[in-house]
Amino acid sequence: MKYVVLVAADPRGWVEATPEERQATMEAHTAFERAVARSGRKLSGAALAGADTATTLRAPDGEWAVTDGPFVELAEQIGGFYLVELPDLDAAIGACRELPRSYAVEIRPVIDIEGYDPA
Amino acid sequence: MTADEALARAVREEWGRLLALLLAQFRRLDLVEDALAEAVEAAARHWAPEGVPANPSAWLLTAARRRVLDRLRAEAMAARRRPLLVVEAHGRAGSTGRRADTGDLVDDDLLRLVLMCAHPALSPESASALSLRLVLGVSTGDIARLFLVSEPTMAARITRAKRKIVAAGIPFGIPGAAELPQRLTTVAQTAYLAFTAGYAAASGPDLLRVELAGEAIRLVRVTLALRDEPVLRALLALMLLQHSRRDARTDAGGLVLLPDQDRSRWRRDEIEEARRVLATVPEATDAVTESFRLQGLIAAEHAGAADPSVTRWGRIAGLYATLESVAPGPVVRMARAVAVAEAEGPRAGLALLEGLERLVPENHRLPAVRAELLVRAGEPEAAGAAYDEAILLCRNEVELAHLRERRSRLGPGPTRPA
Amino acid sequence: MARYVILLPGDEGRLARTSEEDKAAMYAAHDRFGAALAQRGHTVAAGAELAHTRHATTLRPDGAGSVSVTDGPFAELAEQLTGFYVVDSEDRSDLVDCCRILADAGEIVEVRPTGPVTAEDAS
Repeated sequence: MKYVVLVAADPRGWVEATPEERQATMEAHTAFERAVARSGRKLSGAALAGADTATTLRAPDGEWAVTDGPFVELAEQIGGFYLVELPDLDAAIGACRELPRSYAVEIRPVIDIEGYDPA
Repeated sequence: MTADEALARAVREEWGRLLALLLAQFRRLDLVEDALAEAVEAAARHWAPEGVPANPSAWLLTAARRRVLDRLRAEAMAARRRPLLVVEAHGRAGSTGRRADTGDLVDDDLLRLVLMCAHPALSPESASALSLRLVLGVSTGDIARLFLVSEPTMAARITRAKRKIVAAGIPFGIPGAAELPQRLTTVAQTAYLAFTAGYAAASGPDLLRVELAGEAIRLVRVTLALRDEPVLRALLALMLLQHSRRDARTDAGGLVLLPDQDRSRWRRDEIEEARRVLATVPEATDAVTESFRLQGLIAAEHAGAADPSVTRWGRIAGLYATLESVAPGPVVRMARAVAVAEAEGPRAGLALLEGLERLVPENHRLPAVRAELLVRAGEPEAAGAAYDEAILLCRNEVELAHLRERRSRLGPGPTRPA
Repeated sequence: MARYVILLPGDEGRLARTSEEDKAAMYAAHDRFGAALAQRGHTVAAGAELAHTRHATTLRPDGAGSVSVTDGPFAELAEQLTGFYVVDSEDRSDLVDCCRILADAGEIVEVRPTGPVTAEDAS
């Protein structure tokens, strides 16, 4: 089954972290990827740059508008994501437990359309 | 025993185990549940005229299995694929005869079912309903009545839960040893949710709601038999102690509170069992287990007092203080305040209630408890005001009647607009 | 060459009430989007349509040093993530221009550069 793992954290957390804390965070992500590799595979993953770097397009009533900034301002922003393939939800939860404890992590199943791969 | 009784008993005792076996074999929750339900219907038609089979659960299993295979063949033919599933199913069916005799394998399948139904990815209400339906075989209609919703609402809730199991990939499996204790804690919390729903104050004595508490206990017992875990033991003890008072909780007049209950109607055998189990629970394992254990010890204190006047309130107050450190919250604080008031006088209890209204602004129980303590502290006016506040906030008929009665004992209050 | 993530938030309630024709039109827009990206030199590295948040599972710190697992998304938002693309591109403004195809079809599109910090990048 394919899952998207959305990682949310207070963006100040990284900015204000000490080198040791950053190192611990990197190691947690590595541990996560190792856990995924044990029973499945990582298909994609990325950390998102800060919300202030975002560009949002909306087209209410057919007229589109481009704005700087994210689609919603949140204290906890989506800071990154992974796209993984794992046997079941417990495997996904187990891998996500390796991620830093301060994160909120959302595991969402992907709608698998047979034969469709955007890449 | 009539055929109907034999069938009812087989369903009650075997539903979860049979469903788990079928799931292990076919992995199709949708097909398997329908097939087992149809098998039960068939039994209702056949057992009366033909006689109850020597092995009722084996009969049901065979009938259900046959229906699943029919359905799989139909699906395979419709898809014009090689009926691989059917071949695979046959392979497992051949070995199932042995499996039925090997206690371990059967039990593990039931544990898989329990864990699947009480998965943390399901909302707590869904998990409770699904556990009652699939593990205990309680009918959707009965579950609806137990949770005070309409049958279509409950049917939809259960359907959504099953859909999520498929969509989110909730496995029919046993997690690793590291994860299992946590998952059994979720099972415990699911069962406790169902149990407390059974004790949510209803209007008058309602046998069906006591039944819900009984089903929750059964769920814990079933799980405990599969995996002995302290959190389950602690919860079982707590539930048994609370449940042991069920015959004394109501009388013709309505709800009877703990101090006024006829203690001779408390079930002593259940209290004894609870005490024995509670003694085996180690201290301070984890927050959830410890919370259940401490609540159990408090309930045991009440159970051990032959009369309200000999209740060891000092001990209970101490247990609540410890419980607050493990599971802080306004409800525990209020209970502790009551215990402290009994042990040290109403002023000491009132002191503990200070500031709580910030945490539970819409709750009627806080002013109700305050009112009671103010009466004892010799402040009828303040008590009257507190009762008035409680009455305004209370939405439960039984408790409202109780509050009004207490208020009226204080004498007439200030006139209030209608 | 930089990597961008295209987030597609949507109103799940409204999406659930979308007709089959409108859904087909939306998928067609995504097909046109994919074609435009390929034509204009952008490379899609990954993409997915996400299931409804009712099928989500969330892990959060439980305040006692451990992690709690619960049902549902991590935040109750009016607009939840319904899908995404990961695109490699050398021309951000052209990429944003391509996204107009999706916005015209009714999608809300957020284009975000990826950060420099991933386990791979750091190693």
